[in-house]
Amino acid sequence: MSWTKQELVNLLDTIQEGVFVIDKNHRITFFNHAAEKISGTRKKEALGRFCWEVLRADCDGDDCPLKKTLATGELFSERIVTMVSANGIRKPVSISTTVLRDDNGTTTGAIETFRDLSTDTDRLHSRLSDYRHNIITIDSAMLKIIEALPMIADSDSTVLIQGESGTGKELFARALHNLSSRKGAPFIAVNCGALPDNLLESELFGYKKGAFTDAKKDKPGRFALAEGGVIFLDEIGDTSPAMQVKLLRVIQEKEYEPLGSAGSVKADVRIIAATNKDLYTMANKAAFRKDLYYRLSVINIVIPPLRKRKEDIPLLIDYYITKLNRQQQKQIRGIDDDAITCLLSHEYPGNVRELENIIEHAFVLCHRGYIQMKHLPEAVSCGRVNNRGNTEIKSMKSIETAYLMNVLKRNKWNRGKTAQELGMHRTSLYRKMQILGISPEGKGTKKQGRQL
Amino acid sequence: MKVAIPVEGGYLSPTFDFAGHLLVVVYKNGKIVERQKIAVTEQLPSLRAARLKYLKINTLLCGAISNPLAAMVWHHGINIISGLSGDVETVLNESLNAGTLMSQSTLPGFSPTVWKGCCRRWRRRFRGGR
Repeated sequence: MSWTKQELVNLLDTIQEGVFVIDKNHRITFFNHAAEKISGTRKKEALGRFCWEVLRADCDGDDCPLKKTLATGELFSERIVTMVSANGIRKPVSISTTVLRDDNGTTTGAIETFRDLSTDTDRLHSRLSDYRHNIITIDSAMLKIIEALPMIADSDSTVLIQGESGTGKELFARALHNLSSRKGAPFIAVNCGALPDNLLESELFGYKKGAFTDAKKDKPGRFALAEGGVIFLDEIGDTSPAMQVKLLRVIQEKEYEPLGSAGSVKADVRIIAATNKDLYTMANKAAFRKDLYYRLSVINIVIPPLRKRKEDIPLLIDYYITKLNRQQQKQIRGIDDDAITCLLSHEYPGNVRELENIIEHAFVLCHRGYIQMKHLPEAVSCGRVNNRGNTEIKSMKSIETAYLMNVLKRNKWNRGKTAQELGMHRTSLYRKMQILGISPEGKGTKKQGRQL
Repeated sequence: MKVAIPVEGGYLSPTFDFAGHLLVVVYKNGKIVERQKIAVTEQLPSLRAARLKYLKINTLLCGAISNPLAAMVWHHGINIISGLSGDVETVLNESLNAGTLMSQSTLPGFSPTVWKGCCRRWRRRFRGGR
């Protein structure tokens, strides 16, 4: 069966993925309906233009997969990039490329298909089951770590997991435990930062009857409980120098002394430590023992923060909505475009934990339908410059005043020209100037108006 | 006046959000008195916007720009003219000769736009209310 060109065009226009074709000069020769929708660019505007002008992604230049495909014939599949649509929305998209050849095998161009991940919830549902070790990610750096997990789990070396608070360090530790031969033995997690020194010592190593006043019977420590399994020492960077010496001994000698005990106890435990601090810098500044640092970081895993893997945000949102719908027996259908754009532009100092809390907050306020902007917490800074950017948050009035003053000055206080530049009517400009307290004579602002 | 233009190999970069370099041009009495190419490594919108403020830029001439980044740049008191495309020299000459920073060639799906501040949605967020 042979297809006519029009039939092929009709077929490509019905599919949900954006498809465009470029010639050897990187100019677009075909642009389907879904591509128009995702990029916000009409077909007639896109045809004949360079592909990078239309896709506007973070992979232009030498890193562009389509350029590479055209030059070398190399194919790319499901590569995640971020693009900016014509209406200013940042979208994570998954792109695939292939080369286009004529009957003689000569390269005539290339094809790119792309899919909007921010709205692609149906596919994401089906992919949830694909995530390994309950770690929801499509980020390449995270996937590299996940690829290496089975090999790390096979060894018995000490592992140091570093990452900001809320990035899921314990999740990785549990994944290592589940993949290892110690799977059948316990996984014991201890937060070293939560306990004072003497309590931590008795908690980790246990004590003997009579070791101190209230020690009426022997108590096994966490090391004893984790025998044959894995002990996860969270917030290891917060331990005192005295505790660090004791931990060093356990790692080196594989034995420890319970409080009040005369002898040592052998420990068959794999140690996985985690911290949200930069232990290397701390060790260099003598704030953490160097020898312990090197003993701990035999294998070093660094988990990237959520702001550096924003393509995971739609997946995580989808996962938490599904989870909370089940837990709270609600029927929230998803999240609307404005809200997801806002969440994609937020910087997440609290990482995945913060995102989870945002969705939980939205669940309290949203009863049905889609999560909207009004359901998100105030702390979500969509476009607001917060104090992390070292800039002062100013009122809208002061921003408007400053902007208007700038334009007025530029037009030498000619209000007609200013109104024209601002795209507003002269009377609207007068009214605005009155509201903001800008004097029409060009002598600065009145009392109620303040300049930035 | 100090103008910044995101550039990629002599052409305006299609997106300011991902541009690797900025051409910073200083105008005085209608002439270019200084030009400098600067690498931009900041990926986060807030840091990228803060970099422009640090460079004391008055106007940003660019191709596409995402709404959150545009809001942050504008918040720093920097004028934005977006939707531009083509080679940098053309855009510079037009801005110098015509006195208006407008380019004939634009990005597909765009028209040269002077950013007039936040739309209602962003404005609500600036006020801290929704």
